[in-house]
Formats: sequence, structure tokens, C-alpha cells
Amino acid sequence: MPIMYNTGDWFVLRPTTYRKFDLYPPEWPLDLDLEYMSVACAPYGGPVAVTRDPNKIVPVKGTAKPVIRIFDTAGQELGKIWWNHGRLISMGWSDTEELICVQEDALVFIYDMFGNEKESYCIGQEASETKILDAKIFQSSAGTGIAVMTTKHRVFLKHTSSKDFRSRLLPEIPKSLTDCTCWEIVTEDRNSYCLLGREREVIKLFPGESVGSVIRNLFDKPFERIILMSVSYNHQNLALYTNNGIVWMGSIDMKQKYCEFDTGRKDIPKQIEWIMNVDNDQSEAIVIAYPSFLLVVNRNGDKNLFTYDPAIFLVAEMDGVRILTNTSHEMIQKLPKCVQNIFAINSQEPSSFLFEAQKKYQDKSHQADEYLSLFRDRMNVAVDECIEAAGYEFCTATQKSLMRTAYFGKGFIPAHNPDEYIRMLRTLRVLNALRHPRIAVPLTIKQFLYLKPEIILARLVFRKHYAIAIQVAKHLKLPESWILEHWAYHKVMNDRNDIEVARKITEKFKNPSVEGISFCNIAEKAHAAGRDELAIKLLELEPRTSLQVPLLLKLGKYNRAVQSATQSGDTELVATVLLEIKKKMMLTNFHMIIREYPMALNIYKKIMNEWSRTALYDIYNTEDDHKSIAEYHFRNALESKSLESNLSTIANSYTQGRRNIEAELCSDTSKLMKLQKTLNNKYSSIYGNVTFLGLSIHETIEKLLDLGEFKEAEKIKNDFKVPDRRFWWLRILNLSSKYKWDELEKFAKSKKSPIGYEPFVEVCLKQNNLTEARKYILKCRDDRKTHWYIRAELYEEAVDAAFEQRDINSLYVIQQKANTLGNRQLLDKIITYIAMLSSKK
Amino acid sequence: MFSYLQSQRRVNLQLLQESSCQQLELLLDKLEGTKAIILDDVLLGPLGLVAPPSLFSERGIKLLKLEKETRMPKDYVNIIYLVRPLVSIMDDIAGQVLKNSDKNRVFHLFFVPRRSCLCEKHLEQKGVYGSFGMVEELSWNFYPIENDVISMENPMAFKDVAIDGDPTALYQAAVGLVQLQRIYGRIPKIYGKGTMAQGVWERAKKLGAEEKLLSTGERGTIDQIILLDRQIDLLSAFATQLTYEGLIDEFYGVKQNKLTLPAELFAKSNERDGSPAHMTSEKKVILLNSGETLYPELRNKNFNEIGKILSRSAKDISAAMNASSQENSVQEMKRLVDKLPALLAQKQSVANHTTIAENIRKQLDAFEFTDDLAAEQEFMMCEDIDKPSGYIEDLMAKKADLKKVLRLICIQCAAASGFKEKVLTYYKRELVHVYGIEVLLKISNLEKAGVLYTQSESRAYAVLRKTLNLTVDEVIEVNPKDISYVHSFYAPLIARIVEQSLKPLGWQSLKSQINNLPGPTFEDFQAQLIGIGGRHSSTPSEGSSLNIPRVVLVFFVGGCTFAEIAALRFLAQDEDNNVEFVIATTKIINKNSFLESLLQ
Repeated sequence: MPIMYNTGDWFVLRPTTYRKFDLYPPEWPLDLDLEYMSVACAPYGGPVAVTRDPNKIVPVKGTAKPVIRIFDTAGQELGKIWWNHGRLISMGWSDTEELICVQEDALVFIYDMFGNEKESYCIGQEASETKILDAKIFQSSAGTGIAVMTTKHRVFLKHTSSKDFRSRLLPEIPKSLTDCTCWEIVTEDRNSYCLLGREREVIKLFPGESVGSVIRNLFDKPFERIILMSVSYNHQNLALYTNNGIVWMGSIDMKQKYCEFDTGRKDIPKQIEWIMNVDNDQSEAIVIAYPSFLLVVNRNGDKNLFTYDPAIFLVAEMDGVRILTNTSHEMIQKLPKCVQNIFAINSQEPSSFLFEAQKKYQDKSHQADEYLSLFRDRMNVAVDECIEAAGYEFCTATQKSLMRTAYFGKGFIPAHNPDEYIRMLRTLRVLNALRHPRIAVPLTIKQFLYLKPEIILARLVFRKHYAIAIQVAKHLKLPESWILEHWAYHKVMNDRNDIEVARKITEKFKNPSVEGISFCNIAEKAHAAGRDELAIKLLELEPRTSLQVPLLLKLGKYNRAVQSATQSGDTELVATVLLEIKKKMMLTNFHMIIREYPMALNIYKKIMNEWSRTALYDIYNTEDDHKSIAEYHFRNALESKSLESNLSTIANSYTQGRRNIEAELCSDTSKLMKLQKTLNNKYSSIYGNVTFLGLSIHETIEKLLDLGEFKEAEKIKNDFKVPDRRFWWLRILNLSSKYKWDELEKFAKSKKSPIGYEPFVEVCLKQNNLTEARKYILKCRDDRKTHWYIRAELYEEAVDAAFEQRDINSLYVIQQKANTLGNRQLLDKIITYIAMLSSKK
Repeated sequence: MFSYLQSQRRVNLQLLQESSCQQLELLLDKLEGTKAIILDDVLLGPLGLVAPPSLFSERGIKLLKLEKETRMPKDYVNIIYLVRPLVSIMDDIAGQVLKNSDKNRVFHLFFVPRRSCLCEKHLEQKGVYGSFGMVEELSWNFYPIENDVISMENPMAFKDVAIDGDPTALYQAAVGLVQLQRIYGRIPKIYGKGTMAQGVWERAKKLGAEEKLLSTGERGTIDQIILLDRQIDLLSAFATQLTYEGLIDEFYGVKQNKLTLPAELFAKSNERDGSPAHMTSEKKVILLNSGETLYPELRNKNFNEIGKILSRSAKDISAAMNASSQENSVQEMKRLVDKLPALLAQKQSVANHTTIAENIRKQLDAFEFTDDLAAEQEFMMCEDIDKPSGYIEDLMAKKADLKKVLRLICIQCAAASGFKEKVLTYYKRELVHVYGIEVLLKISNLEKAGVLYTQSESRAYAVLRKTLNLTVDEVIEVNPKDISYVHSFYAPLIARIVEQSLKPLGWQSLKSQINNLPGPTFEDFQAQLIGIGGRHSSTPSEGSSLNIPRVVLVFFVGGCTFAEIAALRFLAQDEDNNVEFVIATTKIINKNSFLESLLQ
């Protein structure tokens, strides 16, 4: 119904409608004329590579050296390749937007879109030796592939993405006198094969077969030879063009013929492409580009003609064909159903009514309601269609009015789910940004959804459109930190001012919304780019110290590496660093470094304690840690059982470490050991087999007492300043163990005991001599008597003593014991005493 | 298998067990073909704390002990070494791998809790590193040993840090804390005291900052963590514990909830089987955890209360048995039959514990024990701590066990907050005179560990004993009112600190009081998260008004005793405190094991 908007771009190929519309005019540089050029365009609005076509006679401007220039779709120059290799046969774009150039000797060079060489390899020796005639770059399920045809008419296939560099040889072409005139590569499932046109026949070279199969008699009309063939974007359809202007359209297996169409033209077309449908994966029409006009033909043989200035290049897309000329950049598309429903003349669809209603509503016309009443029950469909149609529009004004219509319409739907509406708004905003000539990636919504936002972001980042990439990421709620990281890489690679770069990067990274960004990754890049100073600056910014370590090691900043490792608190990391740098450094330098980090030093000591004791000694030495040196010698001496000879060294070290008592004890021990030898000699003769070796001072005295050598014992006691207390203990223990009770008593009475008399009781009890024990208990302090009576199990006495001391607690204890013994008499006594004591309180 | 971990508590430690177990399962299931695990002996106990035996039996995995000459099982495709990252172990492994390499056999190496470059280097040097298929780590840092206790099972933690200056244990603890927060949510409040404690927290904070997961979940279940250093309270570590569980540990040693006793102790009482105790050739193994019938009631009680509880339970059982024998209606019979297994288990339990208690009682009554305890308690009361102790001198003169002497010296030193130079010198000389010059190395270790030292200006213990009531005058061991019952009259300092911190503004008022203890006092705060599902706010007042107990994680860095655990459980039972504790430790220690770890 509405007669308006962009229907002027529409044309009909019965029964369907197509449209051809402008994207934006490219602004090619003045010195570029596509007419003399061979052009390779990447799909999905990708870059365009242009080089002089050697087969055309050209007025030479500037240098005669071949140059490949790369532009974006808006004509902005992205890069330039000075071609100084051999003869360039063919070029094309991979699915990752890399330019693939194939040279006569089958060498392949790969560039990024800025003209930086990325890699090069050879298709194969045979192809290289025989030279190649032509090459095709094709897309398959396994990525981009390259096919070359040698001068011997052999075809080799090679996938660029696959790791193995082997190429596959297709079967031989059946022998004939004439050469092939055209060829294409077709991918079917996982296989790629080659179709060749020769004379009146088509030859299919399928891998694995020994020889190609020939298909004849495709045409009804007479002709001499097939001169051009074209495979559709989805590899389902095939178009053949003959020398006398007849087009054959059919399925790829050539079993089905859609139509045969006589263009009636004698001039040779430059390019044929299939126009893929927008709504489904089908194709119903082809575009044929002649030097100065364009012919669109559909399966039914209906056609349309457009005239152009010379030089037309077609780019097949998944949902249409782009047309690139010197002055324009257009797209041919089958009209999406929803767009047609809304805008077609005399459309009776609800969406069309809705659109009209909305317009009337804006004009404040009552007719709005009349329109609405026509389709109220199908409002859902109408709104959905408007939203969908907006996606297909390139014109922002149309998008707006369609979205406005949808907005208007959804108001009439109770509980409308706005998800799709919102998603479309978001997507459109991104698409419009991408289609802006500054960005120059004119994607359709179908392409956008197929590529996925992540890939599109990656492409934006690669084109260095960081700002817009971040905005897009934010808008689509995708992670954005990696974009910043890329931006930082770019800065690192291109900005020569270290301080400036570091400053800019920190400024950007300070933003708290940016999470999980790693300064280390960027520093790593800086290092790879040979900018170590910058790398270190960047590393300093990394808050996670543990991440700094590997790169610091790589940079040779050992001191910093140790520092960072210790700061991280991770001992394992410290150990790794230590092992690593020890290999690379002079030992003295190494010691110097680790001395400053006590934790590292400790870990090193611990490692060396297991690996190399001498290294341990070295480190103690550099530290002047004499106490540790002493202990080091000490341990070694103990292990090698050579304590005696080492004691003076040990004592020395202790003295140096100001450990006087330890030093003194060492010299004492040394003295003791000498003495023990003399004792050995002296007493072995008397008592036979006795040895003092290895005994402590205390034990030596004990042994001497045991032997009855009291004088000698006393001498040692004095020499080594053994306290009286311990000496007395030794005496009484010795006497009691030999049951010399008289002597013990004599000893007790010899002078006032420095240890009191409780030990006497204890030793008697130990030998179960109650009589003797009793004697000494009497000599004990009153408050201890009860305790010893109890221990002697002399409960009667204990009770009395406790009563005397008014020690009610002890009485309870005895009561318990008496209970277990069942001594009634005693119990009674205790109870009386307890009663007496508690009453007195 | 892990029924003892189930409880109505807010923090369900079974989750920890499950997550640890899952790690192992994931690794095991990556390997195809038959598997045999060769296990580091020390890991046997900890493994049992996270992985049920069914995990291995279901998969047909054979478990073997790692020995110098482990016989390689035939017909197993995958040989997995499950070991600690120790270089000495690597030597054994390298030897076995060299001897047994075979086309049809793949070796794997799982480190617990972390892989180590030292070990890997060592294997490289031995030329066997290439023989390993998978080299992985099982990041098991905390093992749940009770429904309120997690342990790192690292007995050397204190020694490594204090003596060798090797903070690996602190790092592992930090990793463990991050893992806990991953399961139970971020802990908003942090208090701590001591250098090691701070070391743990600083590392945990750094690691946690890198952890994205922690910042996304909703509010966690743990409200607060208190990290306390063993260093601030060495006295309690060396003190004799007087709780039932503490005494069992000191006399017999409890290993990962298992108590192994010589079977002859049970010669008489061992009549019935089907109890949680298994007989092995000469040993009887008893599982001691809250899954046992009587143990949860007994474990935290002062030993002097144990007799009563046991006799009461014995009476209960016989009453239950008798009551049923009189009433003979069918329903009664049925009820009896239903109850019978539980009753029998209870009976067995009473029998076991009576045997254990009798044996402990015998040892407690020995004069040797009471004399030691008396000396120890005098030190706690700060009596005669500034001069060489007569009792210790006598012990040395009698050439008593060196460890016993050293322990008492350590207690004296802790109580005196450091010896006078003269006293320390005197002890050193005496020790060398009696026990020989080698003892110097042991003393040196104790000095490095900060256990033996010369006096500083402040007498922290003497002051705190007063201000924090570390010793109480009235000894109440049965139905106690105060945590001091765990050592009869002495309250372990760390438990007291925790108790104080529970009060309103507790930590603030504590700060000045514990300032004299070694190491920094610190507190920290982790941003609360805007979780919609978040629970109540964590301020104590609001918490208690809602009557949901606060959950406090108390981390003993350097080990804790059963007595200290008992003290904390006692605090948690007090409803006024309205608190639930999760107790974390590097290892459960007692006076003997702690000293031994330092002397090595």
C-alpha cells in the first residue's frame, strides 16, 4: 500500500523482486583507476587488494615496479606491498582476512591487511618446477584453500590453515589437444574438487580418482566452447557461459538444469556471480558483469540490465552480491519477504497496515485507527515483521521509522516480550557504526549474526578501531579488557617513547571496570619487541608479583625476580627462581643478591642442606654466621664420628659467634675426652674391660663412683665445677643402688645435705627399703612428711603427719587409698581427724 | 564413611571433604586402564580423611605403601605415586621407575599438596622425569577431621617457619584459606596476632585478590576469622592437658581420629565384635570421632569427670536391658530388638572407654606424673621462675628423660617470659654435663624457635595471667563454669583471647592487652559483597538479635592442642556467646609431639 521509501531501488525478475542499493560511494585515491587493475575483494565487507593487471596495456604512472595496494571498502588505503618477488599469478583473501598471493613458481606469500608479510611457503616441488598457469583461492569447510594449475595441467590443492604443508594432487585431466578455458574449485562436505571447462565439455577432477570424469551434452543450443564458469557462494549452483553468449544454469552436480539463456551478446563477460537469497540458502539469479554493463538473469530467464562506466567488480556475499566500481559501491539482494510485505505497492499485509497506521498516528489523523482495525488480531505478526525488516535496511531513516512502527504496534499487545525489539535496537546501532565509511565494514544483519560479535570485535581490533571496539563490546555486554590489551600491544609496538607508553597504558588500565588485564602479557610483548626497558616499566605495574617472575628471569633482572618472588610469599616460586638464576650467575653475585632477601636465603639454605652441604658452608661464611658455622662443623663431626678432632674448630666458631658458654662447653668436652682416655688406660688394667669413651661428665663421675674410685670422681667434680647438689645425688644414688645403707647414713650425716633429705627417702623407696626410708622421712621438712609417708604407703604415719599439719586435702587422698585397701581402722581414724579439722575451721 | 562430618552446624565441613575427594576423582578418571596407587606412608591417614575406601574399590584401584622396594603390582597399566613433595621420596621413586620400566606401564605422579620444582628437577637429574605421564598436584591443604575442626596435618609447620625460616606452610595455609572461602564464601572480618598469623593473612589476601570467584558469590557463612600464632602461647603447647581427649593423645597419640592400642589392654573386655573397633594382629584400632557413641560427650571433659559419666552410662545401659527383660509384651520386645544394636554399640563403647580410662588413671596416679604436673603448675603460677628450678635439677641429676627435662625448662621459660642470662647458661651447662655435648644442637633449635630465650623487659605471661585470668583460684573440674578446667586451673591463653574477642568491642580492648606478646596485632576487613541472597549483617549485636550464631573461624598457626579445642567448644556451648567455631590448625599437637617436632 505505501508508495514511498526505497522501492525505487527495486526491480522485478519474475516472480521475485530484487533490489540494488548504494552502500556509500568509495573515495578511491586519484591515481587509482580500477579499469586497469586486477582486484581481489574479501567478503563480509573486508578489505580490497588492487594491483596492476599485467594483461592490460596501461599508461605507466610513477614507478613501474608492481605494487599491491590494499584499501578498505570506502577507498581508504590500508597498506601497500612493494612486490619484489616473481611474477604474481593470483591473489585472494582468506577467511581470516589475510591476503594470499600466489606466484608463478608456486610460492605463496601471506600478508595481513596492512601489507605486513606474515609467512610464505611453497605449494610443492612439482608445481614449483613446472611453474603454474593459474591459481584460485577458495573457501571450504576446513578454511581457505589454494588451488594451482601447473603448465602441465595438473591441479594441486592446499589448505592454508592445516598444519601440514603437503598439497594434494588432483587426478589427471583426460588427454585432449586443446587446453582448458576456465576452472573453478568446488567444496562438497569435506572434499574439494575441481571443475574445468574445455571446449564443449566439463571435466570433474575428484580427489582419489585416477582420472577426471567428463560431462558432455549439457547445452541444447550449439556453441563452441565454455569460456567462463561460476560456482555459487554455497557451492550448490553452477553457471556456465559460452563463447556465443549462452548461459547455462544448474545444480553443481550438473544433473539438474535450471535454464539455458541466450544473452545475445558477443562481448566476453568479466565475472559471473550467483545472488544468494536473504531468507534461505538458495540462489535463483546470477549477475554477469561485462566491461560496462551488468546483466541480472534469474532461473526463469527473466533479466534486467544496468549500464555502468567501465570496470565493474563483483563480490559474492552470503546474502547478495556487492558491486564495486570506480565511483560506486552497491549491493544486489533478493528482497527480504518482510521488507516486501511492508513496502510493496498495494501490500495487504498487516505489517504494511501497521506502518501506515503509525504514519497516520504521527500526523494526528483518525485514519490511524481505521488501519489498525484492519489487522488487530494479527498485531504480533505485524510487529515482528517490522522489527525484522528494520534489520535488513541500510538506510537509518527507514530503520528508525520501522522501529518506531514496531514500538507503536507493541503497545497494542498485552504482555509483549520486548527482548527481540531490544536486541534489534542494539544490533542496529552496532551495524550502523560498522557501516560508517570511517569503519567501512558494510555488513548485513545476516552476515553479522553469522560471524558472531566476537569475531567482528576481533576484526575491529585488528583494524585498530579500538575506541569503537570498546564501545561495541560495552554495548553488547561482551568482555572488553582484551581489547584494551590489544590496544596496549599496539602502543608497545609503535610508540617509541617508553615513559609515554607506560603512562598511557596505566591511565587506561586504571579504570576499575577493566578487570583481569595483565600487565605481564603486555610486558612480554614489549620484551619480544626488544624493548626491555619498557617491559620492566610495565612489569612494575603488575600488582600480582608472582606473574612478574618468569619475564623478569627472561629479562635477566635476577635481583628483581628474587624480590618479586619473595614478595609473592610463594616459596615454591622462590625455589624456582633460585635454581634458575644460580645456573646463570657467578656464585658471589648470587650470594650478594639473595643476602638481601632473608626468605630467599632461608629457602636456599634449606635446598642446599639437602643438595650440597658445602654450599651451605659458603653462605654461612659470606654471612659471617659463626654460630651456624659451628653447628655445621658440629653436625658433620657427629656424622663422621670425628667429634674429638673437630671440637676445637667448633669451639672457635662459637667464640667468634660470641656464644661463650657453648665454646666453653666444647673445650670442657675436649678436656673430658682427653681425660677419659687416661682413665681408660688407668682403670682397664685394674678392672679389666672398662671404657669411659662417649660418656658425659655426669656419667663419667657416675662410672667412677660405681668403680669405687671416689677420689677420682671428686677430682672431676672439682675440675668441671659440678654443683654439689648433683654430686650428692650421684653419691646417694650410687650408694643406694649398692644397698650400702650404712654408708648412706654416714654420708647423710657427714654434713648438712645441700639437697635436703627427700632424695634420700626417694632412693630408699626405689630400692623398697622402708626402714631406711622412715629414717630419712623424719629428717624432711614437716610439710613434706605426709607426702613421703603416702609414697612409702605408710598410711598410719601419713595420717598423723597430715593431722599435725592440718592438711585436710592429704587426708582425703589417704582416705581414698584406704578405701581401696579396705582398712577400716584407718578409715575411722581419718574420718575422726577430718571431722576434727573441719570443726576447728 | 564421613558421618561424623554431618551436623546441623552452619558450616558444613563435608563440603570440604567432597571437594577434596572430587579433585582426586577427576584426576583418577582421566587415566584409562587399570590403576594402582603407591602411597606415601604419611599420607595414608590424611587420605582417609577425604577419600572413602569405596572410591578405590569401585574403580578397582589397588593401594600400596611406598617403600624403598615396593613390589610393582603386575597387570596394572597405570602406576600412580601419591606423595608429599620431598626430595628424599623422589630418590625412592626414581629407583623404582628405573627398575620397573615397561612398555605396558605408565607412571604418574600426584603431589600433595603442591608440585615442587625441586622434586621435578631431582627426577630430571635421575633421568626418569620423562617416564611420567601425568604430573599433577592435589591441592589438599585443609583436611576435615571433625565437624568443627580442620587441620593441615603438617606437624612440621611451626618448626619450618620458626627454625628454618621457610614459610611454605604459611603459603599453603593461605591457599587453604582461599579454598575455604571458595566453598564457604568470603570472610568479611579478620583479626590476628603474631608474625606467622600475619604471614598467612597477607598471603591469603593477595591470593584472594586474584580470585575472581570470591567476589561473585553471595555472602559467605563464615563471619569472622581469628588467626593466632602458636608463638604467642607456647606455655599451653607444652602444658599437660587434663581433658580426656588430650590425655589420650599425650599417652597414646591420636592419628587422624584413629587410636591404636596394644590389644592386650582389651584382653578381658573384648567379647563382642561388630563394634567400631577392629582387631589387628596385636593392635586394636579405635575410631575416635563424633560418630562414636560416647566419645562426643567424653572427649572434652576433664579427666576427673570421666569416671562418673562412664558409670552413669553403664547404669543406663543395664537399666535399659533390665527394664526390657521384665516387660515381655510383644511391642516391648520389638522395641527392644530395635534398640538392641544401638545398645550393644553403646555397651561396647562404654567397655572401650572404661578400659582406656583405667589405663590412663593408672598412669596419672604414678608419682612421676603427679610430680611433673605439680612442677608444671607451679611454673604456671609464676612460683620461683627466676632461678633454676630445684625439681628440674633433681631430674637432671637422676638423668631423667631428656625430653621431659627440656619440656619443663621450656614451660619455665614461657612462664617467666624469658630466662635471665645466668639461668639459661646454668641450664645449658647442666644439660651438657649430664646428657653430653650433642644436646647443644637441640638447645640451639629451641633457641631458634623462640622457645628458649633470655628475658625481655615485659613479663607478658605474668601480666596476662592477671589481666586475662589465665589461672583461677577455684578449681572446678566437674561441671565447670570456665575454660580453665581443661588444665584444671589454667586457661590456655589463645582460648582466653578468643573468649575476650567475642565480647562487644572485645578485640579493641584486647589489642592493648596482648601488645606485649611477640608479633604484630592486626585486623582487616574484606569488602562485604552485595549479595541478594546474603544473610544478616555480621555485627555481633544484630547477629545475636536475630539469634543466629556467628561463625568464627579460629586458626591456630603452628598447631593446637585438644585442650584448646575443648576450651573453644566449651565457649561455643555457652548460649550467651551465641557463636559457632570452626577450628583450623596446622596440626593437632600435644606437649610431646610439639617438642619432638622442634628437636628434629
